[in-house]
Parts: sequence; structure tokens; C-alpha cells
Amino acid sequence: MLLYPEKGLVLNPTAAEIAKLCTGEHSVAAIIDQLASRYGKDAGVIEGEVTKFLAALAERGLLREAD
Amino acid sequence: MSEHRPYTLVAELTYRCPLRCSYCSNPIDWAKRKSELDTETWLRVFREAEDLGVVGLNLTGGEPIVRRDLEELIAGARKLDLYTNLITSGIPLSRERLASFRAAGLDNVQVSIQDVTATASDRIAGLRSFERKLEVCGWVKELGMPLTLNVVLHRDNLGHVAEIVALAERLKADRLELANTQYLGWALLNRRALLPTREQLEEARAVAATARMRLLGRMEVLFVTPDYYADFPKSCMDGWGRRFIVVSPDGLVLPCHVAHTLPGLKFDNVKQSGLAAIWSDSAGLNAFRGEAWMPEPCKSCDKRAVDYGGCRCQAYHLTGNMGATDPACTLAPAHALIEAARREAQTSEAPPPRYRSVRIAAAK
Repeated sequence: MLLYPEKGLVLNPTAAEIAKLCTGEHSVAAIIDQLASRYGKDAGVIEGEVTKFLAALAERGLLREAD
Repeated sequence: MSEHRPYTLVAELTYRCPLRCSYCSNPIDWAKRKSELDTETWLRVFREAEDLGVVGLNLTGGEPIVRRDLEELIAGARKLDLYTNLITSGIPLSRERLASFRAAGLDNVQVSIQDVTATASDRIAGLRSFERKLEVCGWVKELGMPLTLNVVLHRDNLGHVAEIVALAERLKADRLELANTQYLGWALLNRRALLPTREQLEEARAVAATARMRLLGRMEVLFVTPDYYADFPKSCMDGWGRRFIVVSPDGLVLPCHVAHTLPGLKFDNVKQSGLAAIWSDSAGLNAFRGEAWMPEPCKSCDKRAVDYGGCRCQAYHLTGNMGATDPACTLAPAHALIEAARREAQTSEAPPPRYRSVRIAAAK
């Protein structure tokens, strides 16, 4: 569950995996690569879903680009 | 996940407050309720709430920072890994004390201002406080915490939404709550002085909507419509005794912060029993859980699982019957009461508001 003021988002396991990698140390490409190798999938296949989820978090103000 | 798993504990630490806003949501007889829970009891309540599944904690009041044990309470919440939000007017607070809250593990601070100029804001607060509040907002950001700016809207400040948004941007707020007054407690007493006209409301709503889109991803702009101008009531507290546990300063376990103004409902006190037993067995909490209590038109309504019949307190304070459909609903038999209040807002000059006493009960 991702908690923020007055609200929370219940993440499914895949979303939670992605969110856990948003530590400020990995680029979006690196996150996609890591997940692709972890699940034995092609990076191109999961790229769309990962960027969509990250964009949704950013739109809620829950994710920022690291400095 | 259980239907009645609570997510949020609202800890009303005190009813004491140096401000005296005319729309205060504390009970009108707040000054009579003096025996505040001690530190140990609050820490136990936090623990028991976490056991029930609670993940978020709102520390509120009154003014929570008048509690001298606030650092200790925040640290206790941190140990339980609760997401802890301090809801404050920012008065009386020093930068050092705020830093100690941060060090204890505070996650978010919500500061309320009353309007966008010192004169207007201080008139509502009854105290010179506006400049200090802005300073507090600055400290929140400097100390690395997210800032929520909250403004309660009514007919005197609803025209200032654009300026409020600009101020929130200047303060680098992460979230702006434009919360229209809920007409209960002091606000119901002062309704004629507070209720805006439909034109005022629509104009403000449009300004907020534009700001929301422009600031997407930078600042969340939230506009809470007053249910006097909505077609259907709000899902008050996400349903009675469902997602929120409110504990009053004196220890009553409530579904919302004003439910103890409903006569004849029995609410239990954490001084007498554990929270888990109260949460499942409290007669007051069970009174309006689920759908069995609903009258028509709620009982057969498509929206009954969306708005849960609206607000029980509003139903009672407007109709005298707490089991009635919320009059805010256009389908409610008593909706004419809301229409009459709107007509009054349209035609009458507002009388001066009545303020809650600024007298602060002696510190515990």
C-alpha cells in the first residue's frame, strides 16, 4: 500500500515491485531491464505498462525525477 | 479484506485551540468536555488501531500542538509504522518544536489558513496569526516534509480561490485542500453568515478545476463541494464505522467527529475497553453500519453503496431524525430544507457570525 496524506493506493504485486525500484538510484530503463530479467520477459513487452504506471504516480505527485 | 477494516485513525488530541473560527467543527459544548486522554492511553489506542489494520493517523483537535506530549505521540506512531499527518493551525509553534516532530517521525503537515490576506484571515481566526502560519509553512518545507495547505471556504473567501492557489504555489505546497464548509456544529449555527450563492460556488469551482489541470504532478488541488450545492450527498467518512475511527479528546470512539451530538446513541470510551471490542460491538458504531437501517429512497437506490445514505449528523441536525435520508440528496423527502437555505443565501444579507470562545481550558 502506498500511503500519502488522507489517502492510500493499494498496489497489486507487480505495481509494488515497480514502486520498490523507484529509489532515486535507477533510471526508468534500468527498472524495465531489471523487471524484464526478473520475470524472463522482453523489455519491449513490459515497457508500456511500466511507463504507464510511473506516469500515473507522477500525475498524483507521488513520483519525481531524481536530482 | 473485511468490510469494516478501518484504514485511518483520527486522533482528536484536544478541543483546546487559540483560534475561534466561526465554522469550527468541534462540538458547540466543547468547553465542557475537559478530561483529555493521557499519553499512555493514546499510545495504547494507536497500537490497538494498528492491530485492527489502521495504516494512517491524523493528529488533530482542537489544536494538537497545545499537547505537550505530541513528540512522544508521534514517536509512538512512528514505531508502529503509521503514516502520520499533523493537522494544525500552526499556532503556537516554533521551528525547533516542528523539527523535533520531524525527528520523531512525522510524515506530513497540514496547515490551515483562513483567507489570503492577514486582515481577512486574522478576523476569522480571532487572532493575529496569518504571517506566522506562512512562516510555519516555510519551515515544513525546509525540514523536508510534504505540506498540505487547507482553506475552509465560505461566502467571504470563496472569491479568493485564484489568490489562494497562487499563495499555495508560492509556499510550495504539495497539496491544496479547498474545503467548502460542512454545515454542522458552529458552521450550522453560522450558516447564514457562511453559505455562498450558487454563482460564487460555480465560479470558484471553475478556477480550482483550471488550477488542478495546470498543476498536475506538482500540486494536488482538491475542491470539496459543499453538499448544499451537490445533487447527491457525500459518502460521509466513507460510510459509518467503516474506514475511519475517530477518538475524541475524552476517549469516545466515534464514526466521525460530531457523532456524539446525536442523542440516544451510545458510544464507548477507550478508558473502559479495548479498541477492537469497541470497534466490533459498539452500539453507536453498529447503529448505521451497512444498509439495514436505510429508509426509502436510500434502500432501493443505486447509489446506496456509493454514498451510504449521506451524513447522519446532517440528517439529524436538519430534520430531527438521524435515520432519515440526508436532506442534501435531491431525492430526500426533506430536500426542501436545503433549497430554503440556498434561497436564503441568494437573497439575504449575512448576519455577523457567532464565534466559539477563545478561552483555553487550563492545560492538563
